[in-house]
Amino acid sequence: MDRYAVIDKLMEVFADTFDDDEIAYRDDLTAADVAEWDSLSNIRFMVAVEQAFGRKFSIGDWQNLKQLGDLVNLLAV
Amino acid sequence: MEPAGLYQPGDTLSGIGRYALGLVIGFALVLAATLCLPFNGYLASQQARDSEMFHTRWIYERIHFDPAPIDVAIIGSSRVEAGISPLIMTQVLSQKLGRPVHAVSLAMVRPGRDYHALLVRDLVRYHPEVKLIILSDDGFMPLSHPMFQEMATPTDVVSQPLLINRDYFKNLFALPYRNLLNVAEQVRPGWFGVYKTFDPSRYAGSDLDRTLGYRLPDGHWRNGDTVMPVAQLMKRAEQTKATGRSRQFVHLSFLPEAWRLAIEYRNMAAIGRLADDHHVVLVFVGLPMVGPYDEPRNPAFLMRYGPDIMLISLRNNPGFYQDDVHLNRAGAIVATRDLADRVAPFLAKRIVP
Amino acid sequence: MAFNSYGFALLFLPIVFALYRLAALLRGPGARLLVVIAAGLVFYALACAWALPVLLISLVGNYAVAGRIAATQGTTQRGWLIFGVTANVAALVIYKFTGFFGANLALVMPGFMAAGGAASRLWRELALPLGISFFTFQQISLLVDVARGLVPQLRPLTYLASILFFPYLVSGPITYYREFAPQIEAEPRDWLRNGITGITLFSVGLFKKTLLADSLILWVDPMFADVATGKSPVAVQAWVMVAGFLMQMYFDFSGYSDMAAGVARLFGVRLPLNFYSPMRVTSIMDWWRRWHMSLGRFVNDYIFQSLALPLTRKAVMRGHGRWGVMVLGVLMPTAVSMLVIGAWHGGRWTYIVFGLLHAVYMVVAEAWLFWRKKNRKHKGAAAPSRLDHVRGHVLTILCVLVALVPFRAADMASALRIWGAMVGFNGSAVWLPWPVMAPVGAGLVAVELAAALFIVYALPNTAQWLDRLDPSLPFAGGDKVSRGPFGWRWRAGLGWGLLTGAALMLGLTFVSRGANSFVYFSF
Repeated sequence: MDRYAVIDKLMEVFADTFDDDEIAYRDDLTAADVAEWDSLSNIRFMVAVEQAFGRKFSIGDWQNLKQLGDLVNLLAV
Repeated sequence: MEPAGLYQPGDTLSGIGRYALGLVIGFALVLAATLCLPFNGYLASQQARDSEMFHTRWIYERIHFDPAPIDVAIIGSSRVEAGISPLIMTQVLSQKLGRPVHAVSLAMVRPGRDYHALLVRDLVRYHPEVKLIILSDDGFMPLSHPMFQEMATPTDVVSQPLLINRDYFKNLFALPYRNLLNVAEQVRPGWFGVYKTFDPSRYAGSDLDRTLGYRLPDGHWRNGDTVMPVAQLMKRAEQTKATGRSRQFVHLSFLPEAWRLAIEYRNMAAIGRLADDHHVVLVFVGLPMVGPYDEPRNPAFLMRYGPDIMLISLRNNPGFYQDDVHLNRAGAIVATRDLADRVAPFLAKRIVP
Repeated sequence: MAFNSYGFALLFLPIVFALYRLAALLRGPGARLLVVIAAGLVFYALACAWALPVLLISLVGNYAVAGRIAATQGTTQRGWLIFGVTANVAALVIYKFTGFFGANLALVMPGFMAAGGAASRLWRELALPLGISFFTFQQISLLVDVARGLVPQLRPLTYLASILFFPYLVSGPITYYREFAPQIEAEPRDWLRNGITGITLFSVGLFKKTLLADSLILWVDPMFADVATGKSPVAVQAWVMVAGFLMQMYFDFSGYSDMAAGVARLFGVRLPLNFYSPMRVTSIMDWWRRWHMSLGRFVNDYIFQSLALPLTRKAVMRGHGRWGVMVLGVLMPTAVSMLVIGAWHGGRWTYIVFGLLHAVYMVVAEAWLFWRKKNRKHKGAAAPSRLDHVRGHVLTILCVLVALVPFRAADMASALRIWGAMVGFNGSAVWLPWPVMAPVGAGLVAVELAAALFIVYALPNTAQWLDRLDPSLPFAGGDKVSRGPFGWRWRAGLGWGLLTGAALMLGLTFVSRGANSFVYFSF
């Protein structure tokens, strides 16, 4: 899948999970930038992403991500 | 967020320098303040009120607040406390010299010559009439007395020997807190259960004789007519002997004696000087432990300051002992008579030059 | 050997630091690590020599297993990981729970556990190797991180140093290998900045421990001891003793944590935070993010997440709906995590009850928050007001105090007596003297408690005060926490230097008052 398509789809999941349509995509977006992004919603976000993209990642894969851009790279592979 | 500060312009190394300087000054100021606080020795003497050393308060009162004369002072550890009766000493010496002689036992449990030196200094100051001081020869005394830490001035503590003195830093570091507590007690003695002023009604009297026995703060009885079965006595003597041997390494017996016994040497020198200045005669008394074994002693050293009287024959009579190293009242009677006989000539010489 | 002893502060630490600097100057990284390892072994031997073999077995065994996990993949790797984690957990359970199981077996099967019999000898209370709860958790985190691919390389000396690092060896903060390794392997620089930060943190921590915590303990301990003998306090006393214990434990453990961070910083290592003004939180979730943070973080990273991700997947795949996902993916793992935190403190019913209470608090709070969020979305309710925050704060602290009763009480009977008193059952009972400086009693207790409350509510916490010195590893939630009305902030200059120097000297002075061990040395 190409990067832009991934980003579009990802931000749909993102807005749905964190109740936030305002946030625009940035490569360096992190949990600190989103009020609703805590360890609980993080789990829901992980599973929602897995569902939407039909992929399954380990906790190690997730923990290796430093920012939203890394997730896009992972999904774009 | 990148922490701002140290290496940013305007807040440079000179700031860190000033901070480090402040650290040192702040530390030193508090240290100096605690060391210069007013110190009340009477309150300090009450710090041991809940321990077996609770008689430090009476000793302080006897020296500082009781004008009754002290001609002969007995200073040493629990062996001397249990084994030399000041009343019998008073009696025998008065009789022999044909005039009233007051003997007082200022003995305190636990060994340590540094505390003895403090007692002698106070004694010659507040009771210049003192003529004879009987000090205990307890064998090797490499340690500091626990009451030294409570009673000594900062100068006393700092000037103690540094080499081979495992209590040096312990005593030194205890000073600031001790002084703070002392000031708090001066301000609110009631909170701490101590007394700032001498109360004659709570004083144990001029002639306290602890060989008669007394009750410890924890309720146990000590001294008096206590006896111990012979078998138990000998077993304990064996144990004491064994611990003595196992401690030889801890006491660094391979080093020269003057190093190993630095506390003893330093404080005996101080006591010797005070005795010279005030024309006081020093005599040492060694009370043996029961049975054939006795701890190593160093009479050659002590005899530089005065005769070292060993009451060696006591050890053959188990009936004289309440435990392996302490005499009971029966032992104390015999020991005191014997000792009085032998110190009388020195006292006579001092009184009639 | 405790941080709050002259032997450590004035002898051990200066010697080890000098050796470390010397090694760095003359020899390089290997020698530096050897100094850290040797210092850790000496430190441990001085504190708890008999348990040294346990520590060594843990080191060798975990290194071997970590090596296998790194070298394998797939199910073999998973097998090694499960083996390693199980062995570590088993060691903890054996040392902490054997006596507990035995005591409870004896209740259920008195015959089987007859005194003197083989069973009663087998299930007896074991002496606890100092620090086992902490270094075992660090080992588990290492094994899991190796399996998760978060540890690129595992060098033997760095590994040994990461467990034996004496600043956190016996009582935390639980620091991950991946946080420690890059810091200790890096060429040390900034000695000045690290030194200044280290001394400052150590001074603050020592002051908290010897002046604050050890003053509170003087009346907190006797009160709990009195209750353990069967006496019942009156309501005011019950609340005061529990609040006093909270303050005592906070100053004790946060003081210890500051000292650990300070000592570690002398060696160029920043540690994770353990406390961030936990007494000013507005929810129980917030409490667990800011109280004993390194434990909460461990439980979140290795227990909660390991349960939550697969359970959430399962719930979503089965189409359980929002509440189903919530219960299975959040509430269940939360409850398990809290029970583990309780049980981690030791094999006693009081700790289990403590964990159970916090499990209930967390589940209720999460569920309520979830329900409220959903409602807010539908009805468009306002964001939480200031009053909501105050209400949340009071409720949280009440819950914490209630759970602290079994945590500190000698047994459940004592805990019940204190709870009874807190709700006013003993209103008329008289427990006259406050067991502290008899003539002052309640007055002194009130003054000390007021001073403690002032410090925790009005002053910035250590990490906030020292933020210019970058005193710890980053904590994401820190920015939102207020610095209090004074907003004090450390800066390089004479003023703070004077205060810190004075605090250090006073802290050292009060070491002489009497050696009190740190609360968390017994876990």
